[in-house]
Amino acid sequence: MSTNFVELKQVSREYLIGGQEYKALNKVNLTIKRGELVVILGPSGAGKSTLLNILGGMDSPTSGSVEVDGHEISKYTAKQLTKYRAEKVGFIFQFYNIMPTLTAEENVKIVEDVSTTDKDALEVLKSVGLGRHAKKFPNELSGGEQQRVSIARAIMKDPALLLCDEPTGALDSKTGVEVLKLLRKQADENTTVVIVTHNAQIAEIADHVIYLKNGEIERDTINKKPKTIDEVSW
Amino acid sequence: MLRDMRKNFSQFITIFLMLFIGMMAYSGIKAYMTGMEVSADKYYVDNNLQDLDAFGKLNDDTVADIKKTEHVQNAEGKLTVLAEVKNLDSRDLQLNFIKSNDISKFHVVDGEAFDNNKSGIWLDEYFARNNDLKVGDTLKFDTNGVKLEEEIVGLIYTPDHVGYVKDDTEIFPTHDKYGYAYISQHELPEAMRFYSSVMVDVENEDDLGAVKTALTDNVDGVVSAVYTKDQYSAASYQGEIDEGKTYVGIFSSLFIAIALLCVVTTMARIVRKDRMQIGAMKALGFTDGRIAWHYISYALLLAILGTSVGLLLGYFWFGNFFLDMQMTYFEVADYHTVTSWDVWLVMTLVIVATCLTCYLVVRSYVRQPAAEILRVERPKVKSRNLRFTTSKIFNKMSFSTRWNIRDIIRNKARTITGVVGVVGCMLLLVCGFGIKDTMNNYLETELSVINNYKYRLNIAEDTSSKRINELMDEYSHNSSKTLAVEVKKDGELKLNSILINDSGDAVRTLDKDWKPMNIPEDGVIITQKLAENEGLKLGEEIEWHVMGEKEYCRTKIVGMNRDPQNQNITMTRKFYESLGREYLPDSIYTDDEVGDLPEGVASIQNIDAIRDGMNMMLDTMMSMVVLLVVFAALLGAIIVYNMGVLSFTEKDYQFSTLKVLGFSDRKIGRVFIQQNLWVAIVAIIIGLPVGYAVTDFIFKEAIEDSYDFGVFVTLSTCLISSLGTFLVSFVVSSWLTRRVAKIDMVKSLKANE
Repeated sequence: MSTNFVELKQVSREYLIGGQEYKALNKVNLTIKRGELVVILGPSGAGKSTLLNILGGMDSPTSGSVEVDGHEISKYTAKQLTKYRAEKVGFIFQFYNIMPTLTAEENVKIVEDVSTTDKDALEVLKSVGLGRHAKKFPNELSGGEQQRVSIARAIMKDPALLLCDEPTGALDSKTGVEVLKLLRKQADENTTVVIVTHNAQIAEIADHVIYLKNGEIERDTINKKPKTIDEVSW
Repeated sequence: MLRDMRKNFSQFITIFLMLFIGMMAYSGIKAYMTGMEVSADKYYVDNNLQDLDAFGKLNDDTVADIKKTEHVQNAEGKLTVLAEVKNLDSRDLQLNFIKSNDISKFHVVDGEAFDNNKSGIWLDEYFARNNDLKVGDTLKFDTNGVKLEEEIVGLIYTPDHVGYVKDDTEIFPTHDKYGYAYISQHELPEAMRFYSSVMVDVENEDDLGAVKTALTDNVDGVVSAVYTKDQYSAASYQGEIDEGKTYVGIFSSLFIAIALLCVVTTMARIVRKDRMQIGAMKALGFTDGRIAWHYISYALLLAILGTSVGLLLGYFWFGNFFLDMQMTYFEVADYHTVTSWDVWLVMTLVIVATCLTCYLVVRSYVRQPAAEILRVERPKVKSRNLRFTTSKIFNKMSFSTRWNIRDIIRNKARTITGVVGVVGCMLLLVCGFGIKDTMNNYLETELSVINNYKYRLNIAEDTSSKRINELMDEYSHNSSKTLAVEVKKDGELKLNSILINDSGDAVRTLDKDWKPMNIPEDGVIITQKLAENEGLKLGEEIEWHVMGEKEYCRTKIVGMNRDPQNQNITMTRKFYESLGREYLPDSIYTDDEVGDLPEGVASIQNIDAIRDGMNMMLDTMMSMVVLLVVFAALLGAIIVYNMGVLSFTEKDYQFSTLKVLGFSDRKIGRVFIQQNLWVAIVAIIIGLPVGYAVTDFIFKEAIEDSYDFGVFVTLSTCLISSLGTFLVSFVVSSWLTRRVAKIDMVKSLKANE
């Protein structure tokens, strides 16, 4: 955890909503180191999702620069951003977003269609504890199991950056803990994990906590002694 | 509601277009068909079309006797002769000499009404128009030695000339070459003031049979009496209406049914898409009725708008286009399109069905508690239905193939609707082109296979046998004779004709497979269709008499043939002579060039001229077919587009996830196009045989008893229809994939399936 893996300089994102200009992010400066588990906190409308979208190459800043792994993705074309998403970024969504027409294994294997990976989908599924559910379709799985399929899909490509939008938001506390353990494990394996959440408790396990308010960073703290997930009272 | 329209504008437009095209095609085709029927009925009544035509050796005394017959209201005689117009090139007119005009009264388009004391000629307006003739021009004739030079005093239609052809080789009129005209009997010398027929107006339709019998049995000089409705003019027109009723019914019903099916399913899907909004409205305290009305009013407005515009354009444009086309063949005064009650009924049904669909879908939601509506709707498909797609073969398939197979299985109704919609359009295309192919094939059979000569010389009635033999020596010994006969079947007399064929290879007889056959010499052969119509069988004896003769003949049916146009009886000259009859041909067939009309020849038919006439008719028909095909293709394109939009909207969430995962727009587009092309291919595979079957049905069931068309669909029709459907599907799907680039990926992070 020495070099800056992510670096945002003076990043702003403005939207026109009903003819009114709305600043989702306002001159945000921020750095994230490789292998950090980052938690972004903040109330609704603070700009958390906008920040995540920009980091994931799904949105571009109106001004400022975004560097990921030494590449200025804020200057990328749509095609370059697609490649960036396919090769560098893993996504975990609040509502899992796994394909209902594919089995658990196929949902993980889908990654092979867009990026090169040495990993075996079944092995990845086993690593998230779903080996025996590989042939099941999403509607045969519980919410937690579906989220684990989503995590397996995200880590299948061995992403440099794992972006999670409220990954435990739709889960009960026990399942949420399991999911967080998996994310912690990824960060420990040198994947940069960014979690956007409303849940302040999750911040206790993070290496780095960013608190956003009104599109600006209100607090940016490094957690020198993050708690283990089992230590966190849920 | 207005905001909903704006929000779903492309859907609003496609639903409107489907309703509009479906209704326009339905009401337009119906309006033209009903218009034909209603316009002619009024014309017949207003201009007093005769009920019976009596034939024989007739004069004023006969007319007086007929008038005295019980139940006869009025009678008028006319002498009909065929004459060449001397001062026009290759133009013939049927000249009718009359004394009065109270029956089959003229509809005067220009000039004067009939006056027995006035010289001049009242000319068929269609013939005049096609030959650029007007009131004041002069026409010259030389008929039966009488030279006539008449100024045109009126341009007319008459109700007994609604449809007319020169002879049996023509199936449609050639108004530029042949027409009819009326001249006062005073223009003829005394010796020629007799009649070839008497038009009889009967008091009551119920008395028609009795009057017919009374005329033939009791009135001197009357050889036969024929119902006017069975004569070519009324029969060919009615035949057109009758055959139209079937294929028009099929075409128009297909249009409206396909459109309705797609509209109803689209409306259902639009409402389903609004499930969350319905739930939110319910949670906010809106009553079920108010929520339902929100959607019903949307459907109601759309349905009323679409069907009304369709109805209006159908009546004023689509229907008139078809009617105008029909009226290039038929002459009916003041014809117009008519909207029948069933069109209003169908319009109402479409509106009700559209609204009812909305209501039923909304009701299925609002019956549940608000919390339940707001909950995620789980796909109804059971995983075990997809289980078979996880086997080895499927594992080897690409992601998009597997994804599409499962998507189809999960959304069977959507897929079936798509297939049915495209099948319907495919069917319309095959039908439209198939009708054209069949007509082309018919003309080829008629003009190249059956009639294998260049000229047909029609012998004048009073030509001596010596002169006929001279003509045969000069031109050809290939000849024929046609007898008008009445065939007795179950005590009823039915008008028909016998062809005595001594033409060698000039007029060929075709067997059941449409291949040339030899006519057996030990009896008569009848056409297969005639046998079917009259319940006649091989080996059976038929009883017939020549019109004007009282004696009946009994002859055995020894064979069957097929003829696309004439359902009649055929025999050889040898068999005819074996009945103790003298054979004097009325037609000679030759390939030699024939100059001016030879003596003893009433007219010459040039097969190329007939072909030209037929081709003109085909061209006219083609414009009708093209219009049908264009709208079928348009409806098809809209259906494919609509299904595509719906399908895209429903997959939007999954596509945006794929996009976030790093799938390129092109790759996602390919997944989408693949499924639509599968639907198109399945629809093509189903649509081809169904289209063929419907075309076959139309030709078997719809056409007149006198026609026997074997359905004929060419390979090019199959290819054009298939490729057209495939291309439309491909182009529309490709066009829709542009939406992939516009997918908002951010939505997928927050979306909730």
